Amino acid sequence: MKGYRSIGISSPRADAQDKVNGTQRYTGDLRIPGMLYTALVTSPHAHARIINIHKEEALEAPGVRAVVTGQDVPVRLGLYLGDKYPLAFEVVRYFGEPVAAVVADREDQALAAARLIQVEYEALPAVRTPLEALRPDAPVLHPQMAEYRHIPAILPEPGTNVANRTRIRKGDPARGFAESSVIIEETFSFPPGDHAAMEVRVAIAEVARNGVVTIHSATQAPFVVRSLMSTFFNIPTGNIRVIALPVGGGFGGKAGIQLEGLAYLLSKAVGGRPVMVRNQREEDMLSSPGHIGLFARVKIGARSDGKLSAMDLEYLFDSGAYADYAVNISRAAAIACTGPYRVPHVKADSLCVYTNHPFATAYRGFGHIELAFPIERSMDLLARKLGMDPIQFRKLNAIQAGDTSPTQQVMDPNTGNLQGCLDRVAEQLNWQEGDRIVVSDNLVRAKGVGCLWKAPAMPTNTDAGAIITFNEDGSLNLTTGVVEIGQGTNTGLAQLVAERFKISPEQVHVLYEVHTDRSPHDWATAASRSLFMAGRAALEAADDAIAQIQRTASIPLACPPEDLEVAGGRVFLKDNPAVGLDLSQVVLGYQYPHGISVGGQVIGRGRYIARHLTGLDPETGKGDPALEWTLGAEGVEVEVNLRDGSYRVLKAVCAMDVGFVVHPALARAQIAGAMAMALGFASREGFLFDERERILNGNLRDFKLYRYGDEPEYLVDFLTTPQGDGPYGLRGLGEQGVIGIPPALANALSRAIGVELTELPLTPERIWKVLPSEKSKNKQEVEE
Amino acid sequence: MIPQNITYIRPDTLKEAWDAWQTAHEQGKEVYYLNGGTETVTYARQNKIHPQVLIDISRLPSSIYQDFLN
Repeated sequence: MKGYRSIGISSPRADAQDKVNGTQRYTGDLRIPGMLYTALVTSPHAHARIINIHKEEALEAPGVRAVVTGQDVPVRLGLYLGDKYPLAFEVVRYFGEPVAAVVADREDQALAAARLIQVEYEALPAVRTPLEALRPDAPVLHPQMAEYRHIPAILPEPGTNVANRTRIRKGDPARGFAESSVIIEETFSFPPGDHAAMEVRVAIAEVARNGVVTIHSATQAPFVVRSLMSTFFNIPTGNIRVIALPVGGGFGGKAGIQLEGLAYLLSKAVGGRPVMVRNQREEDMLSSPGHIGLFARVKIGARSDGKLSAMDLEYLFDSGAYADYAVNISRAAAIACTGPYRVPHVKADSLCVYTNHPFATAYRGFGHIELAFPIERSMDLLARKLGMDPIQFRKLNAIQAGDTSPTQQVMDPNTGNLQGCLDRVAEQLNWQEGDRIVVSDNLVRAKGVGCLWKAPAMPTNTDAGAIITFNEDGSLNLTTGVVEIGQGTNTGLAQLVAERFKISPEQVHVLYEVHTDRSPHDWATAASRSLFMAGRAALEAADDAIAQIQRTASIPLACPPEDLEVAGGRVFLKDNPAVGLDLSQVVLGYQYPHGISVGGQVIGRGRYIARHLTGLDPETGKGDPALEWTLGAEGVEVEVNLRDGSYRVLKAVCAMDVGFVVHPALARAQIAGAMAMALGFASREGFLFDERERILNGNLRDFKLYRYGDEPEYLVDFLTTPQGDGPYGLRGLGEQGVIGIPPALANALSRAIGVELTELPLTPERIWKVLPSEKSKNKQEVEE
Repeated sequence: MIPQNITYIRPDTLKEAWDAWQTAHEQGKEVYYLNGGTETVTYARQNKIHPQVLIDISRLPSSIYQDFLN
């Protein structure tokens, strides 16, 4: 790319060898001397009163040090709303909720002892869906909601099952619908599910004699953990150290507070010894939080010229038993509720609703993958009703600079080129040959598209920092608060710094561990904002270090600092490069031949804090919550068997306006991976419940994921409308690739079979059930 | 992790595999053939099965099919 040396290239990842060879050390691999192990007893009911817990037999079992129940530690905590006991207290609210924990010398001893604990329950009626939860006669799952501590940005409604309601009121929807010549009304839904990250969640806590609490955790958010541990357990922040090693997949599932509070309470129960709480796979799926469910009501009006006029939206998010990130997911979905379109009149209510399902946390796409399903399906419904091509219809309504978002934030000149993205997707899908092609009697190929937009959903004071130190050989060490979760941000950060120093990225050694007591503060490795924000901080640190190098070098080189340039591991006169010094002679102070030294070591400092962000007006949602918007379009091509509903995804394409591509291979992999994840989510994932809301597929045998061999061809394209305030013009791309794929798949399949599909997952069974009968004669035979 | 001790047997012939199962069965033990382990691990971890003896047939020589026919 234009004159750059270290960015725009696919530089090797420093962690590649260890990851590929299985020698990367994760939190679960740690063995701290004296460490004890744990096992959980979990609820077999979706909703029940705890009558009694018999722990005597377990206490007698070999190796057991402690058995702890909710009654022993009745402390409520939570991310944004303090609604959850680490171990259920009096009531269980979902299938799989931890009820008791055993601490033992060995893991097998803990697991064996946990099986000896008998819990008596009185089953209660379960709340099965958000719609049921909103009925006036529904059981109120959190009668004490009014006492719960929460952040001001969310608006709980005590006495109901609503943990948050975000309202959007823009323009005059009544007028907008009156001006519409075409109106569609539809409902859409999908069930809760799981992230299925390769690494299960794990936390190790210990309490030293002096009160210092050390926590190792597989977390995306070590600073959030530190802050919440302080808030809910009254520990001074400085007495808490949270250490995050590289994480084996986050996807949002490790972005909040997870097992750390329980590990701390269990450590206290055994005199402060280190205690590891590590999920079994099934606990990771059921007991720890997963992907949110949604029921959406959509009413959209368009004028006869195809321009969108009004939207009336109701998003009912199935938060499950506890709020966690779900309250903010419902808020983020309100902020972006219309999808990336120009809509003058908008009314939206986005609710986070308690049910007796496993609770939900952040999941890649954070509200946007969810809202895109109803919106992008509706765009196809509208296009069909208007007799317009779905891509042309989207291009006509694509949001642009100068338009306003649902929160009435003006889209600034950095706004990406959505129309351009749609053109690229049309090209990659060979849209002009048609979007439905009959292959043979029972086989059709069909295509569908879906657009995406996403802004980070984060606190208005979200920040990042960077520190650069130097080694004797002149190479750099970069420390930030960014956690390596597989995304490779550290490689991108090394490239940004290397570009400033005009050296190879391998000369920048990034610390792959975050320690809250020595790494600079960083909100969390979430919201696709790390390369943007920590990147800005790293560039400032690099410039700060360069200025110090110039100052030190200017003494022996006897010139003004501004006459010096730093490049290729040297500092030299700009106008006469032969006169200069190796960085190794300068970065730890310059030593004259006779021994006298000057300058001292170089320490580069950089920081960044989000600019211009505000909260939302509680009545209208008006406000400026978005740091930047990433826009894009996606599409799939499928081949569908019209007799049995089976299908193959042939092609998945994405064109995204990312501003600038720092590392082409990683950027492509991130988006192809996102498309794979979204195809799994849309085609087969989701919990199955029995009549009492117990989960039937809570293991990886029965919960089907996308697998090798299912993969289509992935085509990834980048547009580069610069983000003026992003490092070298870049904006976030980590999550975005998931967003447009589920509706694109549903659009393609709906087009193929001629029936509008409104629910996920799109299993062949679901499609087969709605196939027009003349195409599926054998269905009746089977049903008879 | 499966929290119990398991006797693991890897027979060399089909007959050994057969006999090992009979022996364990007669001793009243919960015994399964193992040929990969996905089901075994999943169900044992979920407390649905409690294998005391696992007979690993995944590495029996390819001739076992012939043996069986004979």
